[in-house]
Amino acid sequence: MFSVAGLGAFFVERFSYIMEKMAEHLFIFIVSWIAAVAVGLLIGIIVTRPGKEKVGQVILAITGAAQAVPSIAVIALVFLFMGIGPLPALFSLFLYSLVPIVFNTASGLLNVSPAVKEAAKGMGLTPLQILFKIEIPNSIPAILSGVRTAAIINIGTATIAPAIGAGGLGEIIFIGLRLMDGVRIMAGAIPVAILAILVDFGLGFVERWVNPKGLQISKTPRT
Amino acid sequence: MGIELVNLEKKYGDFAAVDGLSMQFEEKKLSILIGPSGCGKTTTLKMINRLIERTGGDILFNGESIDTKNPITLRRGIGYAIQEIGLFEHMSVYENIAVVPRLLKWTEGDIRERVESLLDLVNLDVEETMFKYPAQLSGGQKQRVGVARSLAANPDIILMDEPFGAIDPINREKLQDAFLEIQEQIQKTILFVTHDIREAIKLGDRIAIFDRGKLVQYDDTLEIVNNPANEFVEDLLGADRALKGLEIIRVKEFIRKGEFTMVLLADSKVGEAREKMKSMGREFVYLVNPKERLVGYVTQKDLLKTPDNFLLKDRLKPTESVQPFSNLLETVTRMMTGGVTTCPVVDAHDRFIGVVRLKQIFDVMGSYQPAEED
Repeated sequence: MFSVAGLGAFFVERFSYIMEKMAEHLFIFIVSWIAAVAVGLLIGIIVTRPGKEKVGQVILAITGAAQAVPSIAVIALVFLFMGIGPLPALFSLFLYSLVPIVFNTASGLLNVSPAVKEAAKGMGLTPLQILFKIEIPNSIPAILSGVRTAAIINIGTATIAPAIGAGGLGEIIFIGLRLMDGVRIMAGAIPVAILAILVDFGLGFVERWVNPKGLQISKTPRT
Repeated sequence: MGIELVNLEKKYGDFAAVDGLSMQFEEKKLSILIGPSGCGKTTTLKMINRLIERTGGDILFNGESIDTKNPITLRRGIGYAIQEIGLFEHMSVYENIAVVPRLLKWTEGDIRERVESLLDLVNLDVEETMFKYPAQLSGGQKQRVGVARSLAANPDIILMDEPFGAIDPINREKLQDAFLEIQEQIQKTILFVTHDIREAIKLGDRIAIFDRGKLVQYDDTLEIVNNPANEFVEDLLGADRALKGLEIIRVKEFIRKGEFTMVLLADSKVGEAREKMKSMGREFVYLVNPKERLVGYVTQKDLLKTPDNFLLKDRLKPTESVQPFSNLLETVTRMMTGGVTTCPVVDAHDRFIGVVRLKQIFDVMGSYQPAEED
């Protein structure tokens, strides 16, 4: 049912097909992810502005709980309202990956110490300057880890997008499952896994590079 | 810049945190705001840089209402230091201090110069500290950076909210000493909130005592210690206020100059010292080396049974000494430790200047008697 040689042959024979599915997969992942980052950051920032801290806490509670909802449930719900095709798939992925981004952004911003914000305000920074020069830089580690989690979730979840007719590498796996064809299953699963590992690694590198140096120091115990 | 509060009021619903406060903070003086928690001292401070908006009355800078400036511009012209310091962890020490100068669009060259001179002023090693991050500093160092940051744009007014409150007692003393020296150099109008009466007496030119949103007494520090307005102030000052009073008086006003010393050479003999003391009519003589540095003392009593031709340096006794900047409490403590009633005063290089006597200090303490016993 499965042999390495067979897998190799499949890759060679169906290379352009695999690449096509890979492109679909990447498209679904990247579009939904970028949209989720943009909207998620915005929501995270808006609900934590001074005076809205209570709203922020509520959003934190909701998004915290929403992280436990299985991805297939979200896809199923979106399917109920939007039917099948790439758009419902994109939308459900967007919705699902919004959760860790909003959660991490809001918790990062709410965790900036009140003393730091008071000092900044007392020194004459405007609310926007406090946000961009103080609060966001201080929350970068939390925000980035949310963005990274969202990316990994999206790559993984995009694999079940074919369930509502959206294509992607998951399609190869689904067909393989139906045909009981181990080669096809692996031919879909291996690229997904490699993609996830590469993106995770790449974003990990970006994190180390973007995280403010002063904050990296504070996490290591002082000698 | 002088600050005047006119019938200043802050109400939260029916509760008046600050209740019709009228007072003036003098230019270039360090004024303390002190009182139990909830007395309105911090609220008053924060109304001055509009972190809290007042509900009545006015605040005048050189006669002009603070409403004439927008709060952002106002705050950039007022230094602000708080107990929690609030250093920006993601910025180096340099960047922390540079925040307000950058907002005010100083050139990077001017900023660098300013940062270096400020670090120097707060006694931090410039090269070593400048590019460190807050997480790499000790508590005391952070607080010094906080003070430097509040001075960054050279504001006329500095507001400080218990800036040394979270520091351990030993380092707090050091910071207070350093801060007094800094204020002597920079001569700013400083409003300093504290709940520690010792800190208030030590640092304040003037002290304003608050209780339940009202001013109880506001006067020069000595006057407050000398003549507490009522029981509340007396309680705040505590039972040992006479001793606390000694802490603000410097030795330099009490130095007696005159003939107290003789030069100790390697071959000075006991007989010479005896002659010297006889000619001075004193029980003791301080010995200085040829460079005028104090090395010790001998008394007539010590030399009673010593033959004249013995070497004087073998009879020498070490002595405590104080400097002109030492306070009288410290001086009394030194005298008690040494079991003496006279203490030599030396300069920073240990050179003999004169003496201070216990009797003079007791005379000062006499004036701190509670009024009813006068």
